[in-house]
Amino acid sequence: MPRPGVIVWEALRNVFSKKATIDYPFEEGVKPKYGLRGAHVLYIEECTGCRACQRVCPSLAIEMVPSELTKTKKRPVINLGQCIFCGLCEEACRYDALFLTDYIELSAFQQKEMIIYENEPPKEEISEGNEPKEEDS
Amino acid sequence: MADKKKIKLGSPQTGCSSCIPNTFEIPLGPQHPALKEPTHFLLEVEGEIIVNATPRIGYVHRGIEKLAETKTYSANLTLVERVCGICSHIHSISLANAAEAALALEGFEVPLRAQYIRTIVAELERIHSHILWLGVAAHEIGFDTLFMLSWRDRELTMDLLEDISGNRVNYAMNEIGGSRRDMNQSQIDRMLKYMDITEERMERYKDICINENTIRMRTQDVGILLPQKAKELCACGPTARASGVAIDVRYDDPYSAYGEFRDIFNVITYDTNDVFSRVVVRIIETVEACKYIKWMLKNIPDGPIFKKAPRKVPEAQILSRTEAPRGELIHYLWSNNTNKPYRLKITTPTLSNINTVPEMMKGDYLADSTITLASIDPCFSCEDRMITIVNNDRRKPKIETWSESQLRKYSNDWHAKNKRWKK
Amino acid sequence: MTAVWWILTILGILFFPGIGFCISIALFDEWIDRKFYAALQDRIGPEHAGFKGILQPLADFLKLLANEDIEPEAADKWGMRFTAIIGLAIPLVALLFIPIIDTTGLLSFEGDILLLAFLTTMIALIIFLAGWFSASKLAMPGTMRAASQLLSYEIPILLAMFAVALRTQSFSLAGIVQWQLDAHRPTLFSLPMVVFFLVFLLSSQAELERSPFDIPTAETEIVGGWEVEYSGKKLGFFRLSADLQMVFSAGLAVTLFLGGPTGVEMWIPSFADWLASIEGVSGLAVVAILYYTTMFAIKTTIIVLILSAFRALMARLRIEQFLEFSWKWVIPVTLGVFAITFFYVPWTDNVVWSHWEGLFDVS
Repeated sequence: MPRPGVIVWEALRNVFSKKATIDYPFEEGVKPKYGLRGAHVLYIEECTGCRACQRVCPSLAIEMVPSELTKTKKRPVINLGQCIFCGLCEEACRYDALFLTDYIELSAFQQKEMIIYENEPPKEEISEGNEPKEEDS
Repeated sequence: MADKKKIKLGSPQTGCSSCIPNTFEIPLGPQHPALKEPTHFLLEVEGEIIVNATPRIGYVHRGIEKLAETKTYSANLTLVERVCGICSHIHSISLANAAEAALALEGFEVPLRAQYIRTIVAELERIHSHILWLGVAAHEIGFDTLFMLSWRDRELTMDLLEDISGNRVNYAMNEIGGSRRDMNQSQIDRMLKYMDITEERMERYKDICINENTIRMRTQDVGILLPQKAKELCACGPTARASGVAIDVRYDDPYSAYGEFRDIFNVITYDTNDVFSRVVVRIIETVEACKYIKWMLKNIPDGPIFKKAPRKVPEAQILSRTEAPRGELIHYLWSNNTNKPYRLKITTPTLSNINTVPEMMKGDYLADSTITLASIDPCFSCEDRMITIVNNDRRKPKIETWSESQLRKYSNDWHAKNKRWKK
Repeated sequence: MTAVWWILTILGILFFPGIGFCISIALFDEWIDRKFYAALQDRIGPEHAGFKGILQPLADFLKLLANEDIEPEAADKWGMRFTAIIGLAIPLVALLFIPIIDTTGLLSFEGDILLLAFLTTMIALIIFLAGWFSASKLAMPGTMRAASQLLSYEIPILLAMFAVALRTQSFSLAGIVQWQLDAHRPTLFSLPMVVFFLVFLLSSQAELERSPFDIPTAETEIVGGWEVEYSGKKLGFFRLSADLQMVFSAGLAVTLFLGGPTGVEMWIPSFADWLASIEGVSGLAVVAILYYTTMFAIKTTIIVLILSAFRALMARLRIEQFLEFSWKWVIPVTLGVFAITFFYVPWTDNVVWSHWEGLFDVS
């Protein structure tokens, strides 16, 4: 039978239960353990500069720049501001050099902060086998 | 008192110009708190009663169809997902179906498990879209508690989608020739559990919407669209089904895995023709979608999820119909034996449904205009077309159509002027 | 009328039971309202300004004061400014009559309930003028809705107030509180008064323009209605005015039906005697003031909680549905119960009856 205030008991129950809101930057957010598509990580010692990632990118977010480190003397620079996080570049990479991480807190104050791996890492670090440092972006 | 010369409340319809006007115009949009996207409705009101409504679309035209001609098929799948933020996956299914139908001429076949995964994601998307709509509709009639609670329960579905695909909005799950991500057993168990919860919650919302007196007062006998008018104005999806017209592409013309469970499929219709019937139809459809997902999860076949498709799509003209959460979605693909489409035409459900809104609004109160507009679940960015209006009278617009040669000349001029627009 | 009395009265109007205290309790009640409304919806509400977001209403108000103040070309600019200031002033004046720190208000005279009835109507008229001066197409329907809504909630409110006056034989709030002290029970516990209490809360909800009766300011229908053209300081004033109206309505309900700032001394005469005895003593008077203020704050908060729970449970009505509801149900019922009260009260206790006899004797 139609009557006003059907939701009353449910609403009053909500007062005493734990709230659904997550106070996100102050509490930890909910995200899946794996499979998330976030910012890229590039292992430049594996990269051959084959341009597969650049060709497959739907939003033209990957640009190849000259480099001393790779076989073809080119390496990818990724603009996260244009990236749509589809993961096609990760699947296109045959040398396991480019991955998407679960790092999703990507807001920045300037556009150029969104471009990662813009500067070439020094050659010595690579030869020693250290992992390239992921830039804060 | 304000200066009367400066306020132009409206123009008199008949009689002398010095009379008090009996109608005046109220703009609904382009910026309006009830509209989540820009569109414009010019409402002529007499007191609080709407006598006429004129829609005007085209504020967020983005040229996606033209852009699709410059990209490869796999890039286009991610592009057409951006047509709509809420029903994104169904667009990529539609384009993938079209391309695979063209490839099928050469004997290409998509694995069945991939079709199941696509269909599961599409039904999850329908659930989250309908719950989102329920919240928006509750907000339009000022019932914010239902809005908040329904969106809380929508988070379950959003979490599932994030878990399966890695993204919350544009899932990028499809590839020509299959699906890009598989589902493991723990994900399937979690989905079964969450679908039970969602189904229970939707039954509860059905009770609330049917029993709550104020919701009935605001939605019953509001925005009437008779079945005859619905057919005349080409309504589709839940809008047509709420007028008693039993059309559903999932049942009439099964695609993906819908043919597998056609015998348990129900086309939901309701016959009061008003906003209330649209509420009920959408809620029952959500419950049904939970059931279909559970059926599919229990009967999902093993096998590969992806078969590598040839890069080039043979020459064909394909019309691909799918049922988006808002209605029938049509992708018309003209391929020309290259890796890019020659022409892609997208007709979204809102473009069909927007014509029914003035018909629904006529004779209603001004207070009901937003819930009536919201009742078709409008998605204006999807349906925007580029039109050129020649005369300035907004009530009787005269629209100029562009021929292909004109468009080409315009395009060439634009590109000549804006060279190197990327960087 | 010594100089000390004047200084104390002016300080009282400006700070403690007056403007400063009323504004702070208004902001506190807005916080309570927002927190509870959020809790009903399974949210946490304001969280970060002060303890659990208690300073959020103040921060919002200060932010609005700092915002740009835009006035439309076609609007009556001085009218808009004038209505914003008057709209803030009226509830502040009305709050001075509510008994907060004592059983009498800061200002009190026999018949002040009539003045309060007039002031509640003035608030609605100011809202009408505010919409009218802003000369907006979207404000105009809101203005008309506000005017027609005024006609339907004002009558039940006045009837409820006069029913209490009839019951307690007094036209001043101080007299009403005193009657409840003497009768050892709040007015609410007399049988017909329950109906008036509910009607008063319902009409207060309509007067405060809160859901389900937020018809004149319906955000998703007419974009904020009469307040659509107000921004910056003027909007801040109207928002603060709405909070003050909420405290005023809750305070009036407390005074009329729940015994005002009095508490347990209604049933414990010795405690009441002690409270009366420390009235003049300077050191212990603070205790009495604190006690009364706490009682008032608790009762007001309960009323605000009821109002915000009511806000969360229903969809907004259409204006003609509200008018129908009001004129077909609320007003006839209220009138009927008023008539019953008129004859029922003298039979149950001799209060009015004896008075009438006295009246006839004089004539």
